[in-house]
Parts: sequence; C-alpha cells; structure tokens
Amino acid sequence: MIKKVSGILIAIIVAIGIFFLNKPMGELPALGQFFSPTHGFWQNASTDNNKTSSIVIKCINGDATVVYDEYNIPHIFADNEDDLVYAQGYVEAKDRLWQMEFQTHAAAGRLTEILGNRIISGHSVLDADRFSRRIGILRAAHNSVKEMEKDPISKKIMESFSAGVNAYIKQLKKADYPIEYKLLGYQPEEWSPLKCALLMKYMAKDLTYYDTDIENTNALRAFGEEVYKKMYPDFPPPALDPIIPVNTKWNFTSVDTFSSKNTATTKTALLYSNPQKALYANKFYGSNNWCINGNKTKSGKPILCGDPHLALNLPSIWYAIQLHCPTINVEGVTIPGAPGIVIGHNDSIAWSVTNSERDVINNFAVEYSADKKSYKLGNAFVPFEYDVQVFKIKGSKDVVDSIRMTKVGSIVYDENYGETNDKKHIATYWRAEEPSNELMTFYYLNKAKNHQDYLAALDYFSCPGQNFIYADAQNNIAIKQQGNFMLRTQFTDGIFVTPLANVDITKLKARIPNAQNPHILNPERNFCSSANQNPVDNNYPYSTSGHYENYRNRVINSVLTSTVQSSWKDMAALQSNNLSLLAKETLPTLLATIISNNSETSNQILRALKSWNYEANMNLTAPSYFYKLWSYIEETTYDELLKTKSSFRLPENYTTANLILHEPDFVLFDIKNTANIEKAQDVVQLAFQKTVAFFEDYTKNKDKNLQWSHYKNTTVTHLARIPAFSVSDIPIGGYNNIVNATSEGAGPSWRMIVDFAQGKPTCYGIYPGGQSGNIGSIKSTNYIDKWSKGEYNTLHFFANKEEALKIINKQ
Amino acid sequence: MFFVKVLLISILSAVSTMFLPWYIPFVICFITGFILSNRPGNNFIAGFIGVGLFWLIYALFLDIKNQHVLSAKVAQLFSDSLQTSITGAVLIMITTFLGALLGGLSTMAGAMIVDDGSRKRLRKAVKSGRYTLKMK
Repeated sequence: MIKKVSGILIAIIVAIGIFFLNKPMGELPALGQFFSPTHGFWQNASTDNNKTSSIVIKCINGDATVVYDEYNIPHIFADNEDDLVYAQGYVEAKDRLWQMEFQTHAAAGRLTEILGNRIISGHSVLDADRFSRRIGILRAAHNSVKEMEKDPISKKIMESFSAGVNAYIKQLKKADYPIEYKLLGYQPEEWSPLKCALLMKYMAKDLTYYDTDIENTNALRAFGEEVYKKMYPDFPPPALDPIIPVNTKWNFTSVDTFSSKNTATTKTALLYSNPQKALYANKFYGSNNWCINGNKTKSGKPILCGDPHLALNLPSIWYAIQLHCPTINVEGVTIPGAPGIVIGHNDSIAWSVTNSERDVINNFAVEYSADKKSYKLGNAFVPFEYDVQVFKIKGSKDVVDSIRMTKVGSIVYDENYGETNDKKHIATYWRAEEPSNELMTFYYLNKAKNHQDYLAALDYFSCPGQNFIYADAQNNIAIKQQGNFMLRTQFTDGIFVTPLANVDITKLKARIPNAQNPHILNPERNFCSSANQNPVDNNYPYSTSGHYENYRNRVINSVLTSTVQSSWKDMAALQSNNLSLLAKETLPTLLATIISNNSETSNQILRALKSWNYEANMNLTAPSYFYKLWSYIEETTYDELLKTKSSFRLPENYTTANLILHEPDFVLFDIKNTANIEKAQDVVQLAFQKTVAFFEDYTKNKDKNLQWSHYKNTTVTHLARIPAFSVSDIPIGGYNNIVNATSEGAGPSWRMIVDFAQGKPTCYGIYPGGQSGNIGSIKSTNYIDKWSKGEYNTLHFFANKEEALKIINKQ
Repeated sequence: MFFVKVLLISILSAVSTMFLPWYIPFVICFITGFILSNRPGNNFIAGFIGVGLFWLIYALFLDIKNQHVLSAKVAQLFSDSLQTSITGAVLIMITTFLGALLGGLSTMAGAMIVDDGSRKRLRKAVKSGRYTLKMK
C-alpha cells in the first residue's frame, strides 16, 4: 500500500514537473520543451550542409522551382507573376520568418505581446510600443494598405505574397519554429498585407524620424540667429559638392504660390527645456551609391555601385534573391517580408538607393483649451479626436492609450506619455502618414527596360525620400532624388517649432511636383553619385533642409573624377576606401597647436598621429586616438549644449571642422565657467589632455587592444539584442564620414556592384550576415568574413530554370 | 527483461515524439513500468537509461552534424544570463540528465502503482481470455 501511494505521489510530482517545464517562467523559456532534443532548441541545429539544392513549391496556378546556389541564394522560376510572388513569400518565410514577424511587431507597437512589459537595456518595451503607435507607424501602414488595395496590381501582389508566407507557416511543425519563438514562448501568426505595409513604414521611420525642430528652436533662442547659422549652415562651408553638380540650371518655376511665408525666426517665443535631456547625435545612418558610364570604364560599358548603410543586425536586414517568370527576370536584395526586389538589376537596368535625409516632419506648438480637450486652430478651438490604442501585454492586463489627434497629426508627448518641458504640447506632422504605394515603384523598377520606365516607376515613391541611382546596358546613367517632399521656400521653413494656430494646412500638405525633384541624366562628368549630401546648390528653387554629410561625397567624387579605364575591382576598392577626410583636413591644424606633456602616452599618441596617412585601417592605432580626440573636441566645444537642461543637436562634423580651421574665435569655443575666453586652440589642447588621460587609463587594462578594429569593436547585433547571438569585434576598418562607413553598430549593409561589361549585367554583392535567419546555421553568418575583407560573392543571374538546375548537377 | 524494457522505452519514445508532444516519452515510461513490473529500482534505471540514452544520442547526433554552431551560442546565452560558464557539452549533459531523470521517475512510478500480486492476476486473466475491459 505504501508502495502504491508513493508511486502515485512520484507520478504526481513528475506530472507537475512536466507541467512547469512546459511553461515559460519569467524570462526563461519552457525548459522541458526547450531542452527536449525532439522539440526544443536542438531541432534548430541546422544539419543542412548541402552546397546547392532545389525545391518545388505548389503555388496558386502551378508549381514554382527554387534553386539554391552555393551562396544559399534562391533563384525562383515560376510561370506567372502571381506564382512568382507567392513563391517569394514562401521562400522568405522559410529563411527569415521570425525576423519578418518581429520587425512588423516592432513597427506595429506589439512587442509587449511577446516580450511582456520588461526593461531591455534600459528601455521599457511598453514605452517603445507606445512610441511606435503614438508617432503613427500603424496609422501610416493602414493608410498604405488602403492605397495598395486601390490598385489591382499591388492588391494582387500583396495577397499572393501573403498567401505564400502563410502556406509556409501552415506546414511548419512546432519543432521547426525558429529558436526565438521557442526562447520567448510564442507562435507565428498569420501574415497579411498590413504586415508588408508595416515593414515599409518601419523603414520610413528608420530613415526619416530624426526630426530636430525642437533642438533647432532651442539653439536659435539660446544663441541667436548669427550663431545659429554658423552651427547649422544651410550649405556646408566651404566646399559644397551636391548630388546634382553645382550651377546646374533648373528649367521650371516654383509652384510655391502660398503667401504665408514662414516667420519662425522672429515669432518663436519659447525656449524648451528638458530635464531628461537626450542630446541629438549628429551621426545618422548614411549610404553611398554611384555609377560611371563607358567613358570611364575599360569595357566601355557602365558600372553601378550600391551601398546602403544601416544598423548591422542579425538576421540581416537584406535577403538576396533572383525572381524569374516570363514577364520578369530580376535579381538583388529585398527586405524579408517585402515583395519584389528593392536594390538590384534586371537584364536592362541596375539601380540602388541612398537616403535623401530630407526633413519630412513639422512640429507645431499646440495651445490647449482649459480642459485640454480642444486646441487652437486659427481663431477657434477645435476638439481633439482620439486614436485609442490597446496594448496586449504578455503575463499582464491590457493597457489602453488614447492619443490626441489634431488636423496635422498626433500629439506624441503629453501628460500620459513622456512629456517634458521640451516635449510639451507639440503636434507632429509626418509625411509618412500620407497615403502612398511605394510597392509599385519596385514592381515597375523590377521590370524597367529604360530610363523612361525608371522615371515612371519612381513617381510612386513617397516616403522615405531616396536617391535612386540608375545605369542601363545602353550606357545611360542617371540619378533622381524622389519622394513626396514638402514645399519649402526659405531655409527656415519647417525646421522650427511654430504655433499650430497659424498653420496653413493646404501649404503643409502641398508637395514639390515629381518632375521638379532633383534629377540628372548622363551628366558631362560621366558619373552620378550620392552619399547623403545636399541634393542641390542654392540655384534650386526650393529649400531642401535636412541632415547632410559632406565627407563621403567628396572622397567618392574626387576618385570618380580622376578615374579612367575602371573595372569593377576599382569600384570594389572605392567601396572599401578608408580615407578619413575629416582627419586629413583637420589633423595638421590640430597637431600644430597641440603641445605634448612629454608623458609616455602623450608622445606615443603624437607619434602615431603624426605618421598617420589618414586611412582608418583596422590594424592602426592612430584612428583610435584621432576619433577619441575628436569626440573630446566636440564635448569641450559644445559644453554650452551639453551642460544645460535644454535639448540640442550637435553640429555636423564638417561644421565643427570648419569652425576650428577658419573661425577659431567662434563664441562656442569659449568654455563656460572659466575666467578666460578660450579659442579653438585652447579647446584642442584641453581635448588632447583628456585624450591622454583616457588612454593612460585605458591601457592599464592589458586585455584592451588599441588597434582600430578592436577599439571600435564593430558588432553585428541580434535583433532581439541577445549578445550570445551577435557577432562582435569584427576585423574591419572605416568609420562615420568614411566611404567604408563601418562604425560600432552601423555600416555597409549591402555592398553591390553591377558591371555591364559583358553586355549583360554581372552582379557582385555581399552583406554582413548570411541568407539563413537561423542562428543555429553557419549560413546565418557566413558572409561576414568576406564582407569584412571587402570581398564579394559573384552572383548567378540565370536566364532560365534549366541553366539554374545545371549548377546542382555540377556538385 | 531489463534490456528489453530499456529498448522498448527508447524505441517507443523515438517513434512517438515524431508526432506527439515532447513529454510523451515519460507517458510511455509510466505505461511500460505499469505493464512490465519489476522492482522499483530496476525500473528507475531502465527508464533512466531508456530516455537518457535516446536524448543523449539524438542531441549528440544533431550537435555533431551541426558542428556545434548552435550549442555554442545557446551555451553562451545561458552563461550570460546565469553569470557562469556553460559549454555545449554541459547542455548535452543537462539534456541527457533531464530526460533520464524524468524517464526513471516515470517508469518507477508506473511500476509502483500496481502491486505485483494484482499484476500477476491481471496477466493471468488476460492470458486465459477471461479478462474483459470494464467500462461504465
């Protein structure tokens, strides 16, 4: 009897044990299931080491064949466009399902549903979700879906693509879920067109949502117009090298016939102050693209290069793929979850994009009524509308957030969310919320045969504004900055906080006609290029305010100007160019003023800097010293911005450099709270002393290596911020403002070169990651090594299925 | 008998987990213990080895074919969150021990619930064909 009872007892204990091991506990996964080799993480240990393979997918109308080449790049062959896009959805989900869904959850402000309301590296997940909904990513995506449904082509694409993704999800066994689902304990949900739209708006947010109206207003109020213009000049002094060559004439007249010119410079009467200040960094993501025509190449045919710079993540932001059916044959990269090819080439043309960096956000100061239920517009008070959002939270009750909506956009910060003195009573208008159908741009670009097709395709593109570079097999080259840009006349338009009561909504929503966007075809200089610099000089009839770069563009343009008889290898070398023009232009002046204190470290730093060739190569120590020195120079110069309660934006590096070189008496060089009036040279000397002190301390720890790549520690970070799934200390040079823009956590996310030398395009490409999204596969990181060395995969571009299947038989 | 039991548990576990939940081996252990009774200790060891061996061999197989890419990362994940040093080999040991322990306890419980006398009578009844399943 005792035996029987204890038997039952043990059985109960085991059952309870299994019950708990089957449930996620806090941040721990369901441990029993997780460790079970038949269902848990061991199942994600990819045993698929085949070099090449092929599968057949049952699509809507027939079968599609997918051939995976030796780089794990799928080449899809279908009999019609519906099946092609269906198979694309299936194949993308097969490799990247978790990433696709996680990114759309992030965009939709739904991370709390899978993560719960926890704090991840100092940030509340719920706050991040609320921010996404408050700025309107979800609203923008819904607008976009409505617009896509109006066009039968885009409607069909979204539906077929979603069906393909869902077909993959449906056949997926629990044991085969990507490991992140098992770790976080949730299941994939059905894919929908809204998710595709969310992905595009996620990119729009990434590439446009860094508005500094509040910071600009603060600076204007704190320092006055004269100083402001030196801190944030509309055109970079002294060397402007815009996308469209200087002195280009524009044969159109401005459509800005609005009488209400901006008066912000005189009428803004507020100085925002933010106790929890966050200084706006002057380092945004950038990108390079360029092309040269036959006059500059050995082959007499054009070469086009694309190099978007984004945050370096695993799984990679890009996914390489070839799509083939009787009406389409295109190859390149796409964002997993988006149909078509975003950057790539077909038989006739090649294209790539860089971010326009144009300001597409306006902030308005709102005057509330006494009960805070209405706001002043014109002379009347208009009641707020409310966007009521529900947040489901894993392991907790729902949270409801109601967002005040004005006629221009939402009030992001209020008494319920993140309000500070700086972010008080501000309504934000964001261009990405306007209806748009960017999908059609890629659909038509994928099929484009010539320059006219390219321009027609671009007309659909609204936000984020991009510089689309173009080259074709007929030796034409072009670049166009395309987007739904605001009609701004003066430089001051739209860059300060202005009273909402005075807004002219018609003008706010008005746009520059597509035909008037900066564009050039076959320029005399035989090349086109962009690297996030000013699009135009001041001959252009509109203001193009934004955050612009002024180093990478000049390095690229000077190389392209002098280049002759180029091959794709020369272009590859330029993509990996490590010249720090910032150092080259400033360091001689800095060194002339620095006095060594004759300590060992001080002499060592000066020796390294004096013998430096300004190349930020991975094995040098000089870049480590220089960039630390530079950050101390910024910190010392802009103490007025850092040591106050107001939020400010750091001036661009070229502005600071220019002030040091040409205006050493500039007022901001003076350090507050000292009796003397400091000048640039005093700042530099002080910054150098701080640098010496920093490295004296730094080298005390013998593990720390001063070589640039170790010091910089370039890391490709897992999307869920899991360090164990990330790759760090990647041996690569480069930095911000350098053509090889590899910084600590951002950089070249897809290096592509399309060479028309053979009459047909050959594509060389690489990105820091791998095709697989499964961290348990070597295929998830196998490109990183080549990428860091500046090497490329020579992509296959098959004419038909038979040709593709041959590579499998070769193995 | 002992080796038959071990083999039975291993094979049935391997087959059933292909389409049933992860904890099904332990149900099998319980039933095996229930039907093929023996001393509790003997049963415990049979279940321990039966599931443990299956999980060990399967996890090892997957890990080796994967060239330890995944186990290294998951080990790092646990090392980071538990602030200790865990390796892929430790993960294999945890996996094996977890399966073995649950397997052993389940088999033992199954054996203990029915006493040997009633099991003998039951067997006799089944053999002689006089046993009928009583259902309401």
